[in-house]
Amino acid sequence: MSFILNDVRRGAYLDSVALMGIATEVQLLDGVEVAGLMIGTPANLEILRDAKALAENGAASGPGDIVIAVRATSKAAAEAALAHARHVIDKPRNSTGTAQSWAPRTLRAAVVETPMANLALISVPGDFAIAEARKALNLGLHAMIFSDNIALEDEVELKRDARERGLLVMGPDCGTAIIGGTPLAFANVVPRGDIGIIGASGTGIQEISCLIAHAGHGISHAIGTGGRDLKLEVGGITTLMAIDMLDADDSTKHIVIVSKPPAAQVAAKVLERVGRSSKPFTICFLGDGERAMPNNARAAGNLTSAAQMACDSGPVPALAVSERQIGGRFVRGLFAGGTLAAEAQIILRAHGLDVMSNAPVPGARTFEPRASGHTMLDLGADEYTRGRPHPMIEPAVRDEPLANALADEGVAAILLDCVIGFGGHMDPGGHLASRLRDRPKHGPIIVASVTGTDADPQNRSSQVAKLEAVGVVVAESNAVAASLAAGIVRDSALG
Amino acid sequence: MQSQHRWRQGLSAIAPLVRIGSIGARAAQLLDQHADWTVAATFDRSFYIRCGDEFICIGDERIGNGPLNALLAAGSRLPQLEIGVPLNLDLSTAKIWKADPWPKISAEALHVDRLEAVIAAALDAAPEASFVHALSCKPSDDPLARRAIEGMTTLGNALRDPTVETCEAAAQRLLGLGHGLTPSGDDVLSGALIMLRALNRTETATTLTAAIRRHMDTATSPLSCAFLRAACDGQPSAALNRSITTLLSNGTSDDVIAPIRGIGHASGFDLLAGALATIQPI
Repeated sequence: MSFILNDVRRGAYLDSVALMGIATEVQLLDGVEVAGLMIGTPANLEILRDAKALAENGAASGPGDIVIAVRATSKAAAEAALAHARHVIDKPRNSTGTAQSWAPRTLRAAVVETPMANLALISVPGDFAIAEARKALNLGLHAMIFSDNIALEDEVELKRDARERGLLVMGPDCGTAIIGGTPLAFANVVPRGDIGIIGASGTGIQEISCLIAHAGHGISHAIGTGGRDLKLEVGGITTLMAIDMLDADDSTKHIVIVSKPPAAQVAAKVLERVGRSSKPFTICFLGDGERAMPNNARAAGNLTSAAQMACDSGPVPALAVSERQIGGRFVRGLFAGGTLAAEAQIILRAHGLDVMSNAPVPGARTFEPRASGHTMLDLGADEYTRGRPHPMIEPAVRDEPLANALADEGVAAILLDCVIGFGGHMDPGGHLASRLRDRPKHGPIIVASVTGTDADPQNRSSQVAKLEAVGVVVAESNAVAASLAAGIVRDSALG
Repeated sequence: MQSQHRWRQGLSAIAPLVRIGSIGARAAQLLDQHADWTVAATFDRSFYIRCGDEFICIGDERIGNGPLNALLAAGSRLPQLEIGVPLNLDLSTAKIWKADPWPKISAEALHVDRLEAVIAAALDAAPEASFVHALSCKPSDDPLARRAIEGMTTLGNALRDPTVETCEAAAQRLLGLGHGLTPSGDDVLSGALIMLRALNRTETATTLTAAIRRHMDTATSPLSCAFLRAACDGQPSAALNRSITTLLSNGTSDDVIAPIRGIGHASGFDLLAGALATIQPI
């Protein structure tokens, strides 16, 4: 007895080489008597009927459809043959035809190829990102949305839908994640360990994960939430789900949360959830005021402190610069990482300095180009990157502001970050060094930090060496660098 | 000749932009008549956009000029596209392509030995799936090959005795028959229609065209219908135009076959099969 099974692809177009190739491949499978893949025209259906390979659903197909027809010696053989045909159809290959060169053009095709996949990283223009994220959710995938320019109401709707399905939406504008040891988008190579991170900020996650790595510890997972997750409208949906996930994860022993200050109601909800966990938490709401913490949580004022608390390690040693005549009075911070710019403002304010920024933290002033004072610029902000790449990708974006700072007699110290890792420029330290090599001897003191590890493609030690070779003072962390810069201008003022 | 349209925009201002260097007159007219279009199918060297019921094939120079073809501008590359996405077309530097006029040569002027050489060369060069092999009328166990022979024989009858009935029979036998985006039977009919126009056999072409138009919407795919309609209007691709012109000028078999080798897997040979059947009825 033979078994006939058909599948119909509505409105699908495949060329004859592909269709005949698949038919030949299926024909050779065990138990297959007849295999045919043809456009469902009446003439072709007649051929399949004559070959006793036409089932009821195939017979109902139309000229715009593709019919996959199989006749086999057993039901199992027919089902296996049909599954094989479907698999090959959904795996289009390019002209070289090698597995290595194959790149799926749709999420569905990617899932067919890698059925174990459970996360989709979405990086497409904002107008399409929501649609792709919905496709991911419909396929049962968690979504990491690197794209920005997505309306807040779309984010809310998407995250609510995902929550219903038990799926996580990281983002939009989620630049960093480390899931199961795999760095995604802008992230660093750090050891696996027992510290989990939940972050609304990409460079915040990078800085904390790298400092944890420097201290000899490791990361279980780092989950990005997107910068608006703790806003009132979104209600911390992703953050709360991430807490649930890391709380249930046996490999995670300590959880760090890093974000800008949340909306009051959302902060209360997050801290209430933290309090119900049996695991210790470190909460770093950058720029936040005093806030009561649950018994199992400690508040960290900056990223370095957050990493130290998570590792239960001592403070990072402070740095000093050799004494020399300093002309100016102000610190000029030129940052690629937005969170690092925010952290520097907090540190300077903690040193009693009045700071202005194009992305001011609570208590800082809004940047005015003609005003003099301590200035922390986020060069990754929209006004600097419109029509240009992000400074983490193209460090030359910082060249002009750096030249201006070097020429400004009012500047005593220039504060820089250098963020390496996957996704970033391959030699930001080398580029900075090339711009600083021939600077005037009695100009501002340059203080920098390098966010990264020696396992990163750029190698942190090599980046540090390039900066130190041109006289840059390289601190262990951004917070230490900011403290040092604050100390320089404070001493200058006292002197 | 330059298109009057600087930009043709699909549904979204941020849809991918494709710069066109050359476009068939029929395709340009379709773009004029439709406000938007989307990607319908994608392949290694081309993709298809759908404008209403019509289709336009966009690809690099390997697809060649044709009434429904648009070739990328020099230096442009095929974008990665997904089915259903809108598309922007930049036609600002596109040239409108039309096929060369046919030479004034009748079928009687053809040397019989040349024609036989072309058929032999086509049988030798065509892929197994092509209906060219039906010209040899060799018996086959393959059900598709058997139907191909039946279809070609019916077409031969129609071309010898072009009545409404014989043309209806040919259209019904061949439309939608076989493999490919444009099934082989459709390509055979297209090749026959184009050769009839080249030979100025207008009356036969009109009868066969009417039969094809009556049945094609239900007998074959929407994409193939678009190419059949172009053939019904006597519009060949540059490759078929060159191949038939060479054939009618008693060119070598290699020169006849070379242009159509690159059309699809078997489509070029199927088109040639229809053209050859018209001057050498089975």
